[in-house]
Amino acid sequence: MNSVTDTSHVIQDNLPSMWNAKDNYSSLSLTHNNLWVSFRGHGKAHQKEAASVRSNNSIPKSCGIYYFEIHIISKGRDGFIGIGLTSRKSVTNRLPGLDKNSYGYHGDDGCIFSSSSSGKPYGPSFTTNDVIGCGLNTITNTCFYTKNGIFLGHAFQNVPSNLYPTIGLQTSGETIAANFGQESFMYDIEGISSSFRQKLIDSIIKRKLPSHTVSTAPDYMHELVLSYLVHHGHCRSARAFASATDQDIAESEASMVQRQQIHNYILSGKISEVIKMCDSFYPDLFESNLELKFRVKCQQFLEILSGNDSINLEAFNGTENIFPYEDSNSIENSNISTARTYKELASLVYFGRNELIPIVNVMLERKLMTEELTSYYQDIFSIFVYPDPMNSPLTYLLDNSQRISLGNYLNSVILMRLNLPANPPLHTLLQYANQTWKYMQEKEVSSTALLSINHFCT
Amino acid sequence: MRGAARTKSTITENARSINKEEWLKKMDNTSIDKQFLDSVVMDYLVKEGFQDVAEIFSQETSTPLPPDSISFQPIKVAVEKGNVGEAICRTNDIDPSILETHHELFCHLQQLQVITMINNGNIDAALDMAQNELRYRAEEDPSFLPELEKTICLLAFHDKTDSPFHYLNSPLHRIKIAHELNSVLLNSHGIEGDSKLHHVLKFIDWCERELTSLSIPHAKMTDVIKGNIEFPPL
Repeated sequence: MNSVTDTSHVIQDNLPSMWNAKDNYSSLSLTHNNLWVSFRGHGKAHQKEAASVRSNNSIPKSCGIYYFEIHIISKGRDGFIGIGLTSRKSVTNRLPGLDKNSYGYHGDDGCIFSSSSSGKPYGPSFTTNDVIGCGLNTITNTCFYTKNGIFLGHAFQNVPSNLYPTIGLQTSGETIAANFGQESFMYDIEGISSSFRQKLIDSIIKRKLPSHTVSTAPDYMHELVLSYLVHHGHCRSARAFASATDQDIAESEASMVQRQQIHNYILSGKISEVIKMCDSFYPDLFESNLELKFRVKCQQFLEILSGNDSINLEAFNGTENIFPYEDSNSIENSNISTARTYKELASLVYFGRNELIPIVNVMLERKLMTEELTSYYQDIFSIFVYPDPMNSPLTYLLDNSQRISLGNYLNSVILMRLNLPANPPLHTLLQYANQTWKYMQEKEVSSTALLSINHFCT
Repeated sequence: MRGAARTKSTITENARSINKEEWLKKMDNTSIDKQFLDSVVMDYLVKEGFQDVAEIFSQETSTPLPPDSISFQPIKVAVEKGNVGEAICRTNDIDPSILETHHELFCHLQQLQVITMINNGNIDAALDMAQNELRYRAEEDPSFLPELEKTICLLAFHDKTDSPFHYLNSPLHRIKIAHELNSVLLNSHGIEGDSKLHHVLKFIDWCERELTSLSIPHAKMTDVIKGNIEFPPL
């Protein structure tokens, strides 16, 4: 997943996107969708005459690297132009950099001003047709400038958060156009973002693993891997790995094989076999977990529908009048019958009435039908009205992912019955890593804008 | 003014303790693809030199084997079993410059050699090696001096399990050094030495440290195997 905030080229609601017409000094005029600014005042070369305008939004702390560019359309009379970042509190009748929590780079002398009225030599001066970029790294809290696509070096450190991009003009005719990412930048900010990201990743990878996690179990990584292999019933891998690393397997081989067989039956759609095996190896498994029974039966319904499984039709001879209001011949002749025979349809209905509805009734009684299960159930019963279920709005039900997720669910239930963990520790570990990262995002930790777990394991 | 108000509300929000139930529920709802986990396991098996297991795993799960996997399993096993001399010889056979350019690793291997000598009762040989080899390493790199001291300290204890530096003598320590050597060997062949699993653990460690340094109350994984997660007190 690419974070949209790692560079500013994607405009988001909470990022600066234009100048704020309500937050400027009266001698400025804003045009071109509030991206252009011109100085309209008398323009005596005196600070009192300066005028600034801030952007509509501040730069969020969670942004990572933020960047915008200013094209100097005209230097006007004297080119007293300041580009920078200011807090909402600083006054708008001065150039950025001169007030508290205000930072600016000035065009006439190339000096930078860090909340001070005395400047420091920094870069070249700038004038008509130059493009000046200003970047803020919210992870290191540093600010840099570029001129015509060339990096000018770091200008400010310890820059506080929630500052606004700001432009200040001072003499008549001065005009600039801002690019908050609406157009491509002159400077390769993507490149800077990714090289900064790589540096961050390297610094994380270089660190040694904390010893406290290691000391609890000497070869805990081996344990993580073995428990994963056992969990999914990969018997041969588990056996080979256990012997290579001198570990014991917590479960009998026979039990592992059974689980793997059951899993394979689910993946191939042979639900009747699954039920047969479960009944013989884990009696009462379904009775003690109605949700499981419900899900398995629903899947069986779908597999019968797609022709991968069948039910014992001894109990059902096909002549029972499933559709009392219809003449069986008229159904046979209708469009539906081109996809499925009357007998097939009838056996589905039979299965639904005799196998599914009783379970659902008990579940409703015990208040086990959650919203999710109810809507799933409704979809199951709706799908067979479509002549071609594979090309229906409910085709997701026939997707292989349904089998995989049922297989994992059944496996977890069996494992819990065997007093083994429902999820392998490796799985929990990755869930934990992902949730911790999401939590950091919620807390607006700025480095999360650049990094996610995917940078570490893909 | 709005900026100031926002900062204040963020602070109060951070100070409030983390909602454990909600946090765990979100964690449970994170779906992790089996194929993805398979690829993490495959990577681990290959990087750590379990080539045979990797092949079986590939058959059982249809996870593809990495195309140009390379294994230093015999060297790694030699270190794990304490045959450090053999591991050093084999490494030098591959490329003598590897140990020359990886000081820390070479120090760790020689240290392990001395420890093995002490264990086998070859005290003279151990002292000889400490004086003639390790001393120079410590002179070249002063950060190694404490390691040398800890090693020699093992000599002071009749029953080595009494020594505070007994861990140097544990299988875990050998596994760690074996892993270090394996990583360097893989790196020297242009392959990332650490497995994805290592990286995930480092990522978690970084996240937890980052949250701590920002004084944001956060969960902490205290036992990777049991999946124990600790939350700050309310």
